[in-house]
Amino acid sequence: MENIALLLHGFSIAFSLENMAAAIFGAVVGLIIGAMPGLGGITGVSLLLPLTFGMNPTTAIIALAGLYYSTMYGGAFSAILLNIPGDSPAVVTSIDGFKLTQKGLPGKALNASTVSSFIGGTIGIIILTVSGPLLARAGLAFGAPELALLVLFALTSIGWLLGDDIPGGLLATAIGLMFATVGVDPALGQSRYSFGQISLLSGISFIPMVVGFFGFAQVIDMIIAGDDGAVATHVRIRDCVPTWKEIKMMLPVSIRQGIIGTFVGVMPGAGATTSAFLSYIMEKRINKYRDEIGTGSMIGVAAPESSNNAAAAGAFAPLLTLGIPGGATTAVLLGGLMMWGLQPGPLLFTEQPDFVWSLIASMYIGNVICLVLAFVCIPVLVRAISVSKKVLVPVIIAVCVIAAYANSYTMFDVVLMLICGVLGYLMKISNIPTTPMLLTFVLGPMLEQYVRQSFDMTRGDPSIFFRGGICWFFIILILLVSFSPLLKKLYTKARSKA
Amino acid sequence: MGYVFPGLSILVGIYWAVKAFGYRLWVLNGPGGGLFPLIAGIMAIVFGAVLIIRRYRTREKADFSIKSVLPIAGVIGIIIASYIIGLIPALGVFIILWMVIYEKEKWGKSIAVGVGTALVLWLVFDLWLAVPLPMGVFELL
Repeated sequence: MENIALLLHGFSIAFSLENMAAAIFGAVVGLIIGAMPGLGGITGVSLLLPLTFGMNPTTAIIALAGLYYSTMYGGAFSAILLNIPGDSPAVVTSIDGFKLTQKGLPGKALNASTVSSFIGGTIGIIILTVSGPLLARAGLAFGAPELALLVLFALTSIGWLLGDDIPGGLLATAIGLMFATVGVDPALGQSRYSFGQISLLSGISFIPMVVGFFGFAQVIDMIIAGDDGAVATHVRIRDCVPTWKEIKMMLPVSIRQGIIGTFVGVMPGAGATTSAFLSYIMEKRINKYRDEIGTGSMIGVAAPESSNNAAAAGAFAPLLTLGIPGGATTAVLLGGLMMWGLQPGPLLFTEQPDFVWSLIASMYIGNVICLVLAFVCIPVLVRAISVSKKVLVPVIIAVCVIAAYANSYTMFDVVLMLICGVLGYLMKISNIPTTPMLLTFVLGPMLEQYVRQSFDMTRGDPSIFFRGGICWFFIILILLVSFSPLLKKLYTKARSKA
Repeated sequence: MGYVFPGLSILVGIYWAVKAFGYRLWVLNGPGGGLFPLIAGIMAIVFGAVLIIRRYRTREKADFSIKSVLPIAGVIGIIIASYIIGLIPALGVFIILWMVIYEKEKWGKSIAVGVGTALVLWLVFDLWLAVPLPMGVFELL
């Protein structure tokens, strides 16, 4: 109850003209930056941070927080319409989102993304309101071995994404793991497979790679397809509105993934991208409409979008209550908090209640602002995609080039995008799926790092992977997932005999 | 063409696996920098070979079109031109030339789209986000 009273007090501060203007400004800028391929939350927060120097801390953090989670909304736009994810969490959204656009349903995909983002974000904020400090402590229970097992569990679930061509999917997994091992190794800190290139010392950049594999490979495909029509034609705005049946289909998914996404967001180092992948593979496994996921399904859009927005909200729990940033963007936000003289940690909630609760209140308001803004944008975006391919193809190529360049301001990333685009096209014509490759690319380095850290903690004793209930929970899950096809076969055999 | 990607994967897989031993597989009581690359390399070799054998047996072919070279050549052209006239003008010129030469669109429409896109990209990336874009000869001005 005390939290509710404090939240209401927070609302009274957040509703001031200055703070509302900051929230709207942050949301608008975040939506635009998120929608731009190659620019994600970290770019937006870093760009806006210097502008907030003159503001009071509460107004400043409201603007930055608004920007942070509205990039999650915007990131889905270019993923759905052009198959070029705005930022890394939107990669999963593009799998089904772009297929819906190709089917002539970009509006439905955008609506699914917006509504589920809102639901996921709201769930994340509610959980943060009710149990922020508790949640942060729960997140801390996840040490290196627990996180290693969580990532391993996600990787064992890769089988659900392989499709009919299992060797092809496993080859894609191998390619993803090879890409992931470029850069500094976590054991000795030596450079691996960098071929003397400074740009490869910190590994292969995710954005040029994704823009190449998704956007540029798609452009090549569009040219070869050769028809002069638009990507999506004759789209009426009323066709964009989801039906009652679709809402009923998406709602449980959004709620489920919103809750899970919040918990993943709380874990240090996991973040929105991991939660988006986890939500997708989970729905692919358990959902009633699982066969439709991957072929252009609204569930395939709703699950990652709800999850990544919830994770963005969840990431605030360890940041505010423990001063631990879960990822790069929250690390920049932490820098901002310290710059304004605030010390995040257990005492922040008691010493700066005005600041903390007005921030949480502004997240509710910002989430509604994002929803309204996104709905306003959808008709415009749907019309924009209806232009001829003759115009769209060269413009997308130009966007791919500048998105790759803007990642680290080097032409090397444009070359990397080009190489990945060619590989993506070769994979496409060879019927090899790209999703397992991207999943391994994201999770591979995390697994390697956590395994290494776990061994470092015990000087090489593997028993650390069997400590406590969380470890055993994931071990059982991994075994169940790995042997589920065999168990299913044995069960069917036994039943048919009976 | 269906053999190209699996074949390429086998070659890269061999390189990855061989090089992995140099990064050491087990070091200081834990997995070394070479363990994960070795796993990746072996997987690429095995599944690349499985795909090649399967493609050979089923005579499955990949649909390759020479048209796929065009956007690749376009991007290479943009990279080269960006060092001469700068990135944004190079993108604008590319759009105009693509629409006129490949799509057979009229000059007026092509110029409008090319200049319009370049202007938007310049406003967003250069003016607003202050991305240090290659300027080519314009850097001297």
